[in-house]
Amino acid sequence: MSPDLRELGNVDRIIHEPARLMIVAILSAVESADFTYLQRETGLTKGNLSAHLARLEEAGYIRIEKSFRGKVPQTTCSLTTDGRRALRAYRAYLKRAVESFEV
Amino acid sequence: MTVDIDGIRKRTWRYWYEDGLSEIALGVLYLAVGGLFLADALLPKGPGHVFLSTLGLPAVLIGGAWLGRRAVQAAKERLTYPRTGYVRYPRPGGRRRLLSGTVAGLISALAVLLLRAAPSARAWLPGVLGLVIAASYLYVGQRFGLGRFRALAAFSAVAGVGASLAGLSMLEGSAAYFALAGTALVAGGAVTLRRYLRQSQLQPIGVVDEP
Repeated sequence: MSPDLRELGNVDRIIHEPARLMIVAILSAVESADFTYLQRETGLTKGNLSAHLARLEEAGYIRIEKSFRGKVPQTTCSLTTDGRRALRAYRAYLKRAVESFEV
Repeated sequence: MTVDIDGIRKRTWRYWYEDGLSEIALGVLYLAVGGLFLADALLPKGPGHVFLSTLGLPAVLIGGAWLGRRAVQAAKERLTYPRTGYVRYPRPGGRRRLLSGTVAGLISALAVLLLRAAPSARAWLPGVLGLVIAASYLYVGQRFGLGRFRALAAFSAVAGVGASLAGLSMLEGSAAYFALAGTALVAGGAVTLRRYLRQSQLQPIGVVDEP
């Protein structure tokens, strides 16, 4: 296997999953966003979004805070430094992969 | 499934403008500035007039921006966040603030130099203002993908140049420009807000955001 091909297998699978990539892309543009906004933008069900958020939190890519806004419970998410670094690395990886690809 | 990372980021930034509240607040500020110019043009010369022409504009701009920011935030807390979610944007960094300040300072210095060098050019102040503000609308529209800002830019340019060509004094022309531009912003913002409220539903009370 060529080194180029071997590198294709080294993709960050946490961030490579489209729903999680969407979440990370949204959070990379803001300081924080709540569950309602993320659900509206990603179009995921509550359960599905919750599972993806838990996975990202487990990987250390996002921080989740639960609080109350008035009397309404609110779950707020923000990207960590590791998450921001992972998104940058993923974009660079994709760029390299596309550039090395010839038909 | 394709993920357009830059498109998602742009849409997230655009969310700030989705409810039209910031346009309404800016429009009200423009109307206040227009009212100030009109008062300056109409009031007889005296101590009150001196206060208006020296401290009036900075007071309205600084106070209006401060009040407007708080009013928009309060309205968003009540109308937008309970419907479509809460987003907190990063504060502009020092480099961006410095750049904005430098550009604003350069434009103001150029305008003052121009007015001193050619007093007859005073009547063109509304036209220059209209074009500069139109350029800023175009920048925002392009950066966040907001089509309605192109219409606002065209209106600002036409209103500014029109106010200059109407044969009014500098103060009357500026008052006319800010009144027109402010009305356009408030009307555009109100239409956007109405559409937003129709399209988005309030979350029922007691619903937990996360399962």
